[in-house]
Amino acid sequence: MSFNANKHNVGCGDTVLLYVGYDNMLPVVVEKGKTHQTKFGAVKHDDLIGKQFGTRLQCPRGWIYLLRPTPELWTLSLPHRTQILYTTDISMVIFQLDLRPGSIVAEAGTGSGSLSHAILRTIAPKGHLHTFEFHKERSEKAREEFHLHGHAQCVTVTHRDVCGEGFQLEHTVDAVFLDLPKPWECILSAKRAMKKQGGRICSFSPCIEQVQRTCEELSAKKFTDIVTMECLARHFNLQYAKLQNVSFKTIDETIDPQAEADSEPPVKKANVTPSSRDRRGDSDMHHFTSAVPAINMPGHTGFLTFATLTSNDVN
Amino acid sequence: MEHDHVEDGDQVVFHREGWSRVFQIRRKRQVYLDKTKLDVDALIGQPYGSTFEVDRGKLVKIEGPAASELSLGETSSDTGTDNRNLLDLDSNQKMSKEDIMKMKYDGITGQKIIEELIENSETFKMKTEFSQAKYLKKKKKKHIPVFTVMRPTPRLVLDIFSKDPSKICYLRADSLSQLLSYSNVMYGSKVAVVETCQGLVLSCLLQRIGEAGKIVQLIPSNTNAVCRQVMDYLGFAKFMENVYSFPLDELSSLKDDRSFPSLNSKYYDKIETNEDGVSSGQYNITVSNGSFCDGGESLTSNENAEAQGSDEAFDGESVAPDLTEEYGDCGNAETEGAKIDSGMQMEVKKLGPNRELQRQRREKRQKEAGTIITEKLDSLVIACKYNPTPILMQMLSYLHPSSSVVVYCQHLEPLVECYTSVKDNHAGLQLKLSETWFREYQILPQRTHPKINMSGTGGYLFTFITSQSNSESFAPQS
Repeated sequence: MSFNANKHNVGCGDTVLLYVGYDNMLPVVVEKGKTHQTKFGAVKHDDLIGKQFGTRLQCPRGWIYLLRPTPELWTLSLPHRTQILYTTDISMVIFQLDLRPGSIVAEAGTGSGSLSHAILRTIAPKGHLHTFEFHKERSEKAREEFHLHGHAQCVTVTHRDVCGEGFQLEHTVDAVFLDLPKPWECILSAKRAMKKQGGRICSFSPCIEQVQRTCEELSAKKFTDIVTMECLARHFNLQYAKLQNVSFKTIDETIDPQAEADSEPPVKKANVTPSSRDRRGDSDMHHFTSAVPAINMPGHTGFLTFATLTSNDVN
Repeated sequence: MEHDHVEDGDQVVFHREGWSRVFQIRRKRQVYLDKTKLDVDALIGQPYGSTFEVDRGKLVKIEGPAASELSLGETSSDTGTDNRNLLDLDSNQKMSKEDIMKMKYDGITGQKIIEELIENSETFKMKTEFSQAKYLKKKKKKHIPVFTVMRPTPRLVLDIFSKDPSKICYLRADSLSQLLSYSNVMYGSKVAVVETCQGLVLSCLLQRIGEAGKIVQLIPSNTNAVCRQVMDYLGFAKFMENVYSFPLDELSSLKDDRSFPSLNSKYYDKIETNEDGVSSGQYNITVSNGSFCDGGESLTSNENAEAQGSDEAFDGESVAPDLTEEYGDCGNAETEGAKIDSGMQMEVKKLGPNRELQRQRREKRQKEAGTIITEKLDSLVIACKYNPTPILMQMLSYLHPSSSVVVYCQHLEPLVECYTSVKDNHAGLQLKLSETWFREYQILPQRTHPKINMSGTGGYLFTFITSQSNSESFAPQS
């Protein structure tokens, strides 16, 4: 239940994140009597119960923090069973699919549930997510997680290959999300699943050939507003940087003494002051705080294709 | 309950690819679309998702499956192989601008005009198949004004500002969507927001918290107008019960005086566990005489034109003429409850006992907002033209530990300052400063490539999770 907005203290059975360091969090389900090992030493679950989320805990060899799981933090810490979607793409998917509390969504496949958690946060408590996964163990694992995280009443996990067997939903959903090797095979089934009022669809594919075929199929099935995009997060690190100043000869050095005597005093002053300061010690360095983009970054996740089905084109 | 058909009074999006306009549909009311007057009565009763063509100021519904892809018949089977023989000459097209204008005036359909254009083009037949397709697409867009009627969503509303993104602080779909994600706002959340994005951010948050959550919009006292235009577009004008506003400069009064005379028993419980240990003193939000408070959380009705005017003054930037024109048309008295106006205008407009009632209501609402803040918030979102660091640092103490904070800014430097302040105060974890690279693609058989034009910036985001701060006790609680 710990994903819930109104929950502020840790209880038995809650999933909490033990924050060990930046981008380094251990998901833990709190159980009485259990102990968890971190790089800073053992954490007793009994010590966590009743604590407020955000609390700093003293471990034998350092501090850890007790964080409330959010879909974003969960994406960073969840057990990977597949490749997952990350928050930049996830955010775009949810926004472009027009999701909000009460939306009904079909998702294939479930994968590791990274996107599912973000969808569930947005559509709860009255919406519903129908999620499909062709790998049996994965679908069971995902179902377990959703229940543990308090999403049981908002989600139906089905073990099925929607390519071939289809969604088997008749005009019930507002939006469909496809992350499949051959998404074009599911467009017709996705269309059937859409409400009579129409809806939105998204397909996530890493390869442009997949996108090409998907777009052709979407177009053939009367989807409109077909848009393909790519988004990548560029992260900045803050650094205190310095650069060496070079010195320039100032006017009083270049101009001969006679001419200098003729020149106007204010001008001379303005030129002399900074240069003489620069010649002294550390002021040779130019200091500044810099937001430096990461040297290496993921250059590609996948192409996101969105399209609309209007009520006109449902049948 | 949402209906499937356009009804009298609905806010409706006229949408075509990459372009949207919002209008309120009223019987016997005309709207301006691309500088032509348009009768919209025909829309009432039509299902959302219907496609219409504009024909001499009238809307004609396009029926059938071909609605979305208006196809021209087999105009030409001749195609060239490349452009080696094509010359860029004015004489390539025999029809003049006047000819086209005349045809339009005579009521000849766009489709017919395009056929004529092709007929009179010296070079069309020599163009490659792809080049012909491109030519057709361009001409269709120009001569066949077609759009689909949609129910407004944040996605479509964002399109409206694509011509003038400065009005929404250059938020783009990617930055707005991440702002919403990282804020962890969900059904039932209590959120504080500072925004100068025409109410766009506020509306998106409001949509996500549903009727169970609460939003406090924090407003600087030196601002004389807060525009919440987008609230109208998304039909939130009637659901204002869980949107509060609170003047930023009154925050200190919440801190100094910590006991409410009445209101909420839950508040007292909170005081017991407050780490600061300050528990007594008179709670008192003074209603300042500043311009904000006077015009506070009010349900004033104002001409939309005034909203434009005051906002313009506030921005110091001019409003694009086409926007003004269309906004100006779409709502007269509909800004009710969706806009806080300056006290000056209030005084002119509202007098008598009504005014006193409003003042009392505002005072009550502000007090409630104060309670929401002191009972602590789940999320803080800042996306504005104000310097964010002081606001952020002021608000930190009103957030639960392990809350989500998002600061959006069109510039990087102020966020560097936010980052440094949070870090130096050990106030947060998982500090992330980022921007998004965003590119769209043209996907066509044998012509797939990135779009020629792309947006260079969608602003910057600074996000983090609040932690138990140093000023609080770290002793294990029993």
